[in-house]
Amino acid sequence: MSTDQRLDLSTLEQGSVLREMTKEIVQENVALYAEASKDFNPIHIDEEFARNTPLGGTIAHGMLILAYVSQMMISNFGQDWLVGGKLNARFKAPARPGDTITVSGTVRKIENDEGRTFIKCDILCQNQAGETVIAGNGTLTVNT
Amino acid sequence: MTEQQKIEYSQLEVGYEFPPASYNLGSADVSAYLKATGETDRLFQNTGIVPPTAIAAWSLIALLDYVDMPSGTIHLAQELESVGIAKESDTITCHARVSRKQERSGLRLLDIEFKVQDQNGDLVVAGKSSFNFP
Repeated sequence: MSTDQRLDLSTLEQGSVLREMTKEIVQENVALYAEASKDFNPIHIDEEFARNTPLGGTIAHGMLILAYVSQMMISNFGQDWLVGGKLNARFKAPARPGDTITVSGTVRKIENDEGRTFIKCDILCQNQAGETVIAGNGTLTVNT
Repeated sequence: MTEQQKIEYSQLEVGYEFPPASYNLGSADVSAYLKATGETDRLFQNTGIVPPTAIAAWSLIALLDYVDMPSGTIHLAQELESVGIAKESDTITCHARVSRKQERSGLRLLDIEFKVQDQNGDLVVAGKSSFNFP
């Protein structure tokens, strides 16, 4: 997906669909994220340890998947998201190596109030089986 | 803080404030984060801007120096508000407090609110992390 084109906020309306993003979950990337975030919980990086837990194998960090959500919002809204974006996410199911995660969003409501516009979006991360990994919402506040 | 001094769930109370944790946003750490998350947006290319999720992730890890989160602790939910832009070489400080503690139906829930400021005291990121302890 190109990141060179942001959404034209003036064209948004209730029901508008945000440009989605797809990410492959690869164990190597999970290990890289562990190093970068300094979260070395073995459930993410120790396959033998993880096999012997109820999860049955390693899982990606929830905050890695949340980073993908933020990336999707930034690709749509650009710098506005960095100075006025708010995410509210619930981790519903783990993302596992081998999964393909699709991050999508839909505009639920647009409100204008005293020179500011509030764009409220429903956000969803699903794996290749359609299982919800993250459900939540995002609100962007823009001075207009 | 040593492992033995970490605070257990049973010891935490609503209103408990964690010691502030400061962190310098080094370029190597930021680059590693961008690579690990596959972030290629032009906003982060040679601009020094640090993704808000990176700041939240590092703030959460800083909390682990103080809280005993045993194996089986589940990160249930995350709120994250990006208020301002942090850049490489900034020093951020995370202020966190327990905002909810609830035990019901076998669940042991804990919410931790946090605010992250830069070296000028400007708010950069705010959020709330919700956990279920085993």
